[in-house]
Amino acid sequence: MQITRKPWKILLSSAVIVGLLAGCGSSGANEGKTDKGTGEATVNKEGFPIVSEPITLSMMAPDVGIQNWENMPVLQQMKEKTGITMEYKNAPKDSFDTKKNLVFASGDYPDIFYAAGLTTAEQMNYGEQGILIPLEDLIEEYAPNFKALLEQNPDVRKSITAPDGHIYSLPVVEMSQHWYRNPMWYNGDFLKALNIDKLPETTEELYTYLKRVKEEDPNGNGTADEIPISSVTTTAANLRDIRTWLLGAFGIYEEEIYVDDADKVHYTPLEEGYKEYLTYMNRLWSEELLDHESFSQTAEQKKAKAQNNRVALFSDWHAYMTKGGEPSTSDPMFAPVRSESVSAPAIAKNRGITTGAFAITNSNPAPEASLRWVDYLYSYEGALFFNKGPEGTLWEYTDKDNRVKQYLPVPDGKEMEDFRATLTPNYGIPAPTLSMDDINKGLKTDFDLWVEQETKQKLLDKGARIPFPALFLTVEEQTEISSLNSDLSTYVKQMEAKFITGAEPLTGWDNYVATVKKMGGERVAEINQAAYDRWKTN
Amino acid sequence: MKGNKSLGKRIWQNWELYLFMLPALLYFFIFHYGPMYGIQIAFKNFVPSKGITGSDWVGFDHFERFFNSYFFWDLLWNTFSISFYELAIGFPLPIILALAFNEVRNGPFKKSVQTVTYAPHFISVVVMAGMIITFLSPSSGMIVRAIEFLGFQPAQFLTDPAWFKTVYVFSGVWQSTGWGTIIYLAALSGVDPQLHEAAIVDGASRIKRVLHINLPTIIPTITIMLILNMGNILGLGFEKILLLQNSLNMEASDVISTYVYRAGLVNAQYSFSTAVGLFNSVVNVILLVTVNRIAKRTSENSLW
Repeated sequence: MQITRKPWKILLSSAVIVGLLAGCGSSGANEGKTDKGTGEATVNKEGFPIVSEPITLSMMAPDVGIQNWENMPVLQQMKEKTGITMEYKNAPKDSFDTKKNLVFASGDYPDIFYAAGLTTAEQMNYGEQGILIPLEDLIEEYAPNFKALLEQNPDVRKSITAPDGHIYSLPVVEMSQHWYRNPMWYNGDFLKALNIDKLPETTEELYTYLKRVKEEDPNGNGTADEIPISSVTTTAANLRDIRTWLLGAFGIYEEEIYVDDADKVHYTPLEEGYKEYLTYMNRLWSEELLDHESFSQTAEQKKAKAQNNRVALFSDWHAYMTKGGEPSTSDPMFAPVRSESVSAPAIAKNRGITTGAFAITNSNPAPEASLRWVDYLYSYEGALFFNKGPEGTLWEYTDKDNRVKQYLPVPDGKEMEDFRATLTPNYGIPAPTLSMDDINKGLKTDFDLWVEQETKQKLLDKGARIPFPALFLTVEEQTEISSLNSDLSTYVKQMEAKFITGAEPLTGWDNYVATVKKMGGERVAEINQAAYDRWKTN
Repeated sequence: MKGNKSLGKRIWQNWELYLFMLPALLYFFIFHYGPMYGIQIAFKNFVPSKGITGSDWVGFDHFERFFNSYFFWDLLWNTFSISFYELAIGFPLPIILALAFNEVRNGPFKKSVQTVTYAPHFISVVVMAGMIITFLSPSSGMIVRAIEFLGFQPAQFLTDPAWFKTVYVFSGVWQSTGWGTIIYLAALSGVDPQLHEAAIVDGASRIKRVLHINLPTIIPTITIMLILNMGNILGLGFEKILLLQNSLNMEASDVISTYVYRAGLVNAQYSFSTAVGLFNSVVNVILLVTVNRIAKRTSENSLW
């Protein structure tokens, strides 16, 4: 009786349940299976297309959010040229590291990591676990351009080879990019208004100049609204944009780990020079020479101040990007100053090699084709193509045999860099490539040449060097360092802010040192020393 | 009569009802209880390629590391103090507001006031944090300007650790008080009008009627809401805290959930962060059970 009474009820509920289960089932089954269809397509060792039958691979990469990667001419033409269709799994650049960690933990990997900035720790970890596949044998066979690069630069091979002898990732090689961080720039208008013809060379001269900015109204608006130095904060870091440059005045090359000329590794937060840096910064803070919003403001807020012509010294890729207006040679680059305790400032130089730019996972059905795809980016044509976009969009040849080019007018009155970002993915992300002088032949503006000149005079000629080589720790070392660092770096950052703002007086330095030692600060230096010694003897 | 029947028999008799419950039960088992097997990585060294079950056991190592961490007591204190501060300020306000709304007789005034107080609820956390930072910016914030205009010296709201909790709690009050009144208004609509009529005849004033008729009627709702709130007490609004955090207010703003985020998602120490998160949940469950028991002893109302 009961069973037959309301059959529609049963039908309905069964339908709901079936629907629910079907929903789960199908979504689970589809994931990760889409790309594996045409497994073993033949791979051509030379020329294009790379594969005889079209294949599809998935690629995970950070995205600056200007153009959908599907619509970038460089990637579209690459697809036609190679026969490899890429499915782009982009995550915003700012949160990319989080996303990357999640992907590694999820077990559902993309076929390729592009511009992923894999740390040496990640390469070791995931390489050893077999998630990232070793590339050294494939390079021999399928990457003629990269192989040639390794043969010409043995250092590159040394830097990208993990302690277990495998190469898990391909690097960005930019031997002509020397900046460790974006430089700092002086506001040229202020220098002029205050009749400064010689830039500060010592910390005292810098202090005097900043003091004058504060008091003498160089922007001429009648109020003392000038901000001598302005810095910004993100959740990950504060003062990061200016710290390295000012630490140099006290003989310290880098904010965490550096090696001195006697091959001794130092952990910066325990150094005497770091204390001097804090003292100096505290002085700037208490006299309001360092922007009091430095620990809470965003880059946009800083830019707004600079565009109202209020900031005297700040950090950015180029001065005009913060100050607004056209590229101009009237805002000089900050020349690192020195304190009385050192004879010359310590200046950090870019390593020129950034590992972890490209990696292939074990779910990739066609590692050979993938490697051939990326190998093109290490040739002159490929590097040019990914750097400047296809011929005829941003640039054209004036003398093709000698690789001389000229820029074309940018459509719609856009900024040239913004336009470039719509053409190619290699904009603002650590993409695998090789920088060559030939790429920019004929394209350098007077401004570019001036920036090179400033870099040479103020950084390179003054003894800039690499603070700490790109090296690998063993898995055990890495595990220990990461567990020490997670509390240590929070504490150090917190105390730096307190010392600078005076929330903690510098008399508390000894206590601070004791706490950092208790938390394992010295151990961090020891581990890195061991790794450095290994690297040195290799 | 019914009590004598066995459970199986009762289920059999009302099997359609149980069939209707089945999807909900399945949902909870598949999406809430099923994933809990992952908790075991708190006692393991989780390695993605070995998987959850394949990783090696390490016992209570991760818990020990957390308890010995330099930040342990700070984290615990911040988590508890922000939670209880929020509860102390944020819990009574919607009740008071709802009682007040209830006294306003219908009309455009009541409607518009209600809409105005509900509106902030719909602002997303990220926008909210952006607004707080902008309004409290020492150089351009409008609240800071207003304080200056009134002739006071404004505090460093965003960077002074002493202010963080207040900024957090009161921005929360601004955002959610209005929305919180809804459930109490619903409860108040159930007040028997005869009680009011009788009280008016007896000459009770408006205040007296609110205190002795309206308030007792919604006490059960208040108790249940309080217990529910206790259940969430350590599950603080993580996003807002993270977005308002900076190195200067860190000592007051770092809570367990932001610590878990840093250890787990930023530094990829999954096992450690799971252990910390598990600790958080256990404390939460203990609180919930305790408050529920107290409520049961002292009144007729409790969750179970």
